[in-house]
Amino acid sequence: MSDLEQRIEQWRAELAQSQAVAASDINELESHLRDDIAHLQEAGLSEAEAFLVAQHRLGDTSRLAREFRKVNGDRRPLEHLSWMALGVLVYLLVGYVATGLSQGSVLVANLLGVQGYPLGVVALTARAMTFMGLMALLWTVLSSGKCRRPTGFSDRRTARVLVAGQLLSRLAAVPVLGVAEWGRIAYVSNFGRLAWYAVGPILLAVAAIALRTHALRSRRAWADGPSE
Amino acid sequence: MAVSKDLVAASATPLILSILADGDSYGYAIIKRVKDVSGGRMEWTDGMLYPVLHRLEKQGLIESYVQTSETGRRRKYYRLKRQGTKALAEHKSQWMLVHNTLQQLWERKPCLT
Repeated sequence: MSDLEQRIEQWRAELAQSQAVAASDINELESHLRDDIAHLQEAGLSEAEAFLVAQHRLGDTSRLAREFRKVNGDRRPLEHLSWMALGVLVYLLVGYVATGLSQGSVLVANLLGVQGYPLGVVALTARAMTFMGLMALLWTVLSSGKCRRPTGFSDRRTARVLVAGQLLSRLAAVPVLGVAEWGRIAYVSNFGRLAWYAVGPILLAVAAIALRTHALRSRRAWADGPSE
Repeated sequence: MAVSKDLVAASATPLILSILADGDSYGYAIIKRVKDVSGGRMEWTDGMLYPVLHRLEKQGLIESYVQTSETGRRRKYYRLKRQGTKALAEHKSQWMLVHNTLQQLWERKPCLT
């Protein structure tokens, strides 16, 4: 990442701190900043100078955030929520695709004459490989920086730790448990999955309501407070 | 001579509406136009334009759409709506009234007696 890109990323992060500036607002401001930087560079300023002048012209980030808050209200909790929901969906999707592919490969292996213990190995390997493959793909996309970081989702490390945890636990399970043991615990894990599908949505709904209440309360607080 | 902050704030809406009446535009170009037309004497803190644009959009006076420019950058353009044209006419008559009033007061009256 070039020096300018780094400075812009830092400036974006500063704006994202605010509860009021939405990702789309920041994108719009960034477009302005880049236009001004290009214009100033044409006039003979260096990249660093152009950035400083353009940033100054655009205005102090905290003052900008205050102005946006008057128009937007406090919207970050809702944005958080939408990104959380998207994350859950992607995770579920990866799980479904992995299951589908592993079951497909078991079917193919069975048709090719593989049966019994080796079939179990095929099933387990296929499941682990597809899940890890998809997670690795997701990780690559997230770390490549091509994916614009959503406002408020400031800690990419958390996501990395979660993905790494998933991968490691799956890797460790195969040699530690063995295929036979895996079969024995299948119904326990299926029971756990059932519980997650039942409890998960309730937990998500509770989180959604809590966030929504928080967002509304802070918006009301702004409406009541002095408009500076 | 720079225009006072209050006057800049008060004139922001009619300025934006007038520029959009000439054709769709985006934030950076709007500010540039104001600077050019005023000969650089109307200084805005650039960022403050955007909350005003968003407020006008919420009020239904303008609408926005995203378009990719020739340089490949995605820009948010604003377009004047019918409601905005009406609002601009209203602003115009109010500003003209203020302008005419001040002009009459400032005109040197000939002393006939």
